[in-house]
Amino acid sequence: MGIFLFISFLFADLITCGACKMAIRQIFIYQNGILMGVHITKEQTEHPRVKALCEKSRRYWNIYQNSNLAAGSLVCLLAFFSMEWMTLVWIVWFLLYLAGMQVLMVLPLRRMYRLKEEQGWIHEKTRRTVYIDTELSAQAGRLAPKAHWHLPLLALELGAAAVLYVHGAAQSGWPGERAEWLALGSAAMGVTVLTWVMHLYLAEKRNVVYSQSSQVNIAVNRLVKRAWATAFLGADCWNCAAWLYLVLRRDQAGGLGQGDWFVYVALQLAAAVAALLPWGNLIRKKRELLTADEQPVEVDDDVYWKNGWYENPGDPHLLVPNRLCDTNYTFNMARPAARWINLGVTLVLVGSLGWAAWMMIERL
Amino acid sequence: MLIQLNNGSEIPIYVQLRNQIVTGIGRGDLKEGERLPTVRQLAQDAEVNTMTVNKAYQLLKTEGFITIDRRRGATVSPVQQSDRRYREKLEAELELLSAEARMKGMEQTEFLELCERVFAGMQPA
Repeated sequence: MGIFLFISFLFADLITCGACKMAIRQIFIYQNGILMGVHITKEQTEHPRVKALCEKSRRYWNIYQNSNLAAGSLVCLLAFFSMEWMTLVWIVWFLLYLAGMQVLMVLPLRRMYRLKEEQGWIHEKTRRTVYIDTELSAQAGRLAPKAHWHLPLLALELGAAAVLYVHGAAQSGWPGERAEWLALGSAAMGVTVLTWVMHLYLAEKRNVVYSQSSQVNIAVNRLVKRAWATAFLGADCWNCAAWLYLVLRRDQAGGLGQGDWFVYVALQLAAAVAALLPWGNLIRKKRELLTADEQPVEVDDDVYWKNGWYENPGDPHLLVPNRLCDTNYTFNMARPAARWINLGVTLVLVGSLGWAAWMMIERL
Repeated sequence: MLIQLNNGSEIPIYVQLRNQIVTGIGRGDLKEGERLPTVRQLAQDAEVNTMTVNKAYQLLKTEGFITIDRRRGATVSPVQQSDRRYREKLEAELELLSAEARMKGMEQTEFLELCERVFAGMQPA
């Protein structure tokens, strides 16, 4: 059990810290007219105070991520001594890691915006400008694989559940296993439905205009939407495979051994990898395209990001592309729904981790 | 072609859309037969209501700049001969522009040179 926990938590830490470090690292590279979440010109990036601020923030970010990766890995070693202590310490470490990351993401943007204000680099006229690329918009439906490919996977999962129910009901041990299989099946189908909905939503998101060149805009938007679609479809396929494997093994062997659970965990880990793999390519290629572009569009809406998060009462959208991690989305905190959702998610996260911690304390 | 909308402007969004599409056609940035975005997609990308885009498209269709087909969607129409009604509209708008130019102290030759330069930039494809 100790080795199982150690590997699972270590893998989770590696993916979390690695993904966060890689994703946010991009804000320290000047691309699409933006540095550290703020629009400035290429000449202004050479300003001594800008360079100093960028270098300092990048250094702090790297130190923070590397030290937390080391700390998270050390915490996992406790799995060999006590599962309860490992879980408790990991929960505390994880909450502190998330909180620290929020601070380190928000502060550089605030400082950069303040510097921009002090230097008088703000362009008020372009604040409320919206760009549309007609060639890009006309191709919108053809930029990425469609979300309906999740439906055959859902049908397979439902079919497997039906087979399991029909064969299982004839066996004497079935009533005792039913709740466990219901949970596993619900989790599998829940993942499929969630990835399908998110794929549908993100594939239909508005296109973003980065450049005066339609070719650049089409290439970048295709890259982003394809990455999302591939990530969701890939994760869903492995998730489906994990569920089908369990059902088939139960049908063949009448029960599941420890080896089957290892295979199941491995398949779910493959789903996690499939969800994250497209991002590496996306970040690299997007940066190549945008740094090579010599005609970025000029929009200065930094005033809506000056607090470190997006807050625009005039924008009806709840979700907008994240300035700090442009492969992601963030909330428009001017919308009441965004505040409630963030509060709810925070309470659920802290509450469930707190409840898990309490359970561990009781077992000590 | 890039369309630029200013949400802080006093000019209604549908008029801005209409004007920029017409200018794009005139400059050759939008070519004859080129497909325009669907109403839904353009509304989403412009962050406006679909009715705003629909109004712009209907205005363009009435003026003969685009054709709307149920299967192909909106496409740019070929260059047409101006009719009497259009000439009257153009004359009224030019009268206003000429009055403003005169009030601002602009001479006729300067005004005509400006018109010639702008018109020369229009090369519909």
